[in-house]
Amino acid sequence: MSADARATAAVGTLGAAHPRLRPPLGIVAGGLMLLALTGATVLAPVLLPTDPNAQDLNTMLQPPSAAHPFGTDNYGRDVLTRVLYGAGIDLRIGVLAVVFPFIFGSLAGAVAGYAGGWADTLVMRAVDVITAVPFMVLVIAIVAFLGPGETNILVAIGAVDWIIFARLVRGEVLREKNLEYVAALRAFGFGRWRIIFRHILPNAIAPAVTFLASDIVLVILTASALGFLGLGLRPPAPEWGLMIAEGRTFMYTAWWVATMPGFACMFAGIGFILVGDGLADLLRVRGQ
Amino acid sequence: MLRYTLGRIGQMVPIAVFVTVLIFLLIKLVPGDPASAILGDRATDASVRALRHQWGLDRPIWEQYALYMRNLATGNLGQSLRYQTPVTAMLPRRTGVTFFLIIYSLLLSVLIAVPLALLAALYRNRWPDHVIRSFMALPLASPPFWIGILLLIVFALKLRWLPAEGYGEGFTDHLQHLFLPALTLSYAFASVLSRNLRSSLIDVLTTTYTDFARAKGLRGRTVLFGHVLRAAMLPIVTLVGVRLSYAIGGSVVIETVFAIPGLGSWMVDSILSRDYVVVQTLTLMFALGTMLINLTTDLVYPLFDPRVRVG
Repeated sequence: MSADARATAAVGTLGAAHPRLRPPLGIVAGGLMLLALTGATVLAPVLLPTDPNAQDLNTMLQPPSAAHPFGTDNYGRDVLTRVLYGAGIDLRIGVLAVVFPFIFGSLAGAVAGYAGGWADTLVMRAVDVITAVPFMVLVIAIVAFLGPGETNILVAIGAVDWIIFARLVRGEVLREKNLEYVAALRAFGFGRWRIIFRHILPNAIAPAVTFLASDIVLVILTASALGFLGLGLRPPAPEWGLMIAEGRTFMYTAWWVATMPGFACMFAGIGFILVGDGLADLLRVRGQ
Repeated sequence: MLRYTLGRIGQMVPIAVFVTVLIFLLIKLVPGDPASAILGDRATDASVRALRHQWGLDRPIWEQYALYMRNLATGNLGQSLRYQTPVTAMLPRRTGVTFFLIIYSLLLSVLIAVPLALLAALYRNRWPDHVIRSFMALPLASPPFWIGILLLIVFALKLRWLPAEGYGEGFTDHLQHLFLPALTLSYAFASVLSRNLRSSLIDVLTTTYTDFARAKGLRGRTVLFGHVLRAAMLPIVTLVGVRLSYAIGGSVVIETVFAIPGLGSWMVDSILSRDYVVVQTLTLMFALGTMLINLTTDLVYPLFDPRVRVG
């Protein structure tokens, strides 16, 4: 029996003894939802031959039908096509926007928690100040001054969102640094940075990783709110929030224009939440 | 208690000062010159210079900040370029509207969350629990403004039960006009509230003092409402403070959906018309409001939990 096979067998018995070590249903379901959405977005140009911005004034504001499953909008554009192209935009913003906050916030939190002293004061006072302004208000305010557009949305969210990760990781590092293995590493004469980044951070990062999924949802909702307010992407971009704003004008006569993009957003959101919750369960079991 | 109160206020002051610095610096984010950005392409050099001078943009940055702080301290919150009126003229009425909306949604959230959390906790891991938890998870994944539009389509446009937008005149009229927006805000709020209250209730239900209360022969309802719910509400008080900050942020978008003349819709209008001074002042108002709420929850908490008062 090869080493790999032995490992697989061991995991197999472990899985049977601890049923929760198998990937939880949530991760599978959520993962499939996200896979379906990303797949549909990638394949949209092949599956749906029309351009998301192709106008057809003969088919304006038509209710959902076989030809247009989600109906058409006031320019006769196919809402399903736009919703799927929109997934490309909103998911991209969601994933891109959390990269900087996750990396910077985790590092700032780790250094603040381990070093203490003025580094901790500096980071935590910055966190306090940013926390004092409601998240949405501060992001809107920053975009208001920077101007609309995708890059500015990413900048605004990045400037505010990192504090969540800093707080999470700092709390974990504070707990970890008093454990015996850290004392042992210090006794071995390991340097401070090596202890933080090679040993403490990998143990302290789990809650931040788990939070990533919820954060992506938060970012997508924020970006769509900016689009809705006219501070996000510019028309005719098929961004979900912008589409909801455009559909609002016709909500009495053509409810589908404003509602369909919202369902897509909810679908993506539930997918990420299921994956995040499943991941949290999995890490909690591992930790025990 | 006095020392506790003063200590909390003392912690807040430096944060408030740095918040003013942060908000003051926002104007520096404007690409290029803010004065020409506001006045547009057709502005003359002279008018741009005049505005720069009026705002002190031609002075060193620390002098600009000192000027900003002096204005704040003397109650001069700036002048709306669009309406040519001081911000303070519109502030009290608009603040009142937003305050009404937030408190209304807070009350609705509690009315929704408490019964649902009780049901979910008592029927833990059975179908009522699953249904409630799934239903209350939806707002975490959906844009609040979209939920507002759905409510608007169903209850205001199709069924015609409630007004679609505006604020109305008089208290009962306000209650009617703000019902859908408050419900929209409270759905997200109640979602988090019921989730936490459920687990907090489950914790309390399994404590020995709950068993003791039952063993004393108290009726089930007395134990549930007099003992269990009271103890389970404790961790929720702090949560209310945190979530109110989200509700305030959400109100900016929801006020726009329902055309409510509060601070949020004013902020969005001002952004779209590049009325930068108003945007800065409103951001500051939102921040101060949030800090005040957090201070209040910190100070109210000991009233609910005698254990903190001693410490």
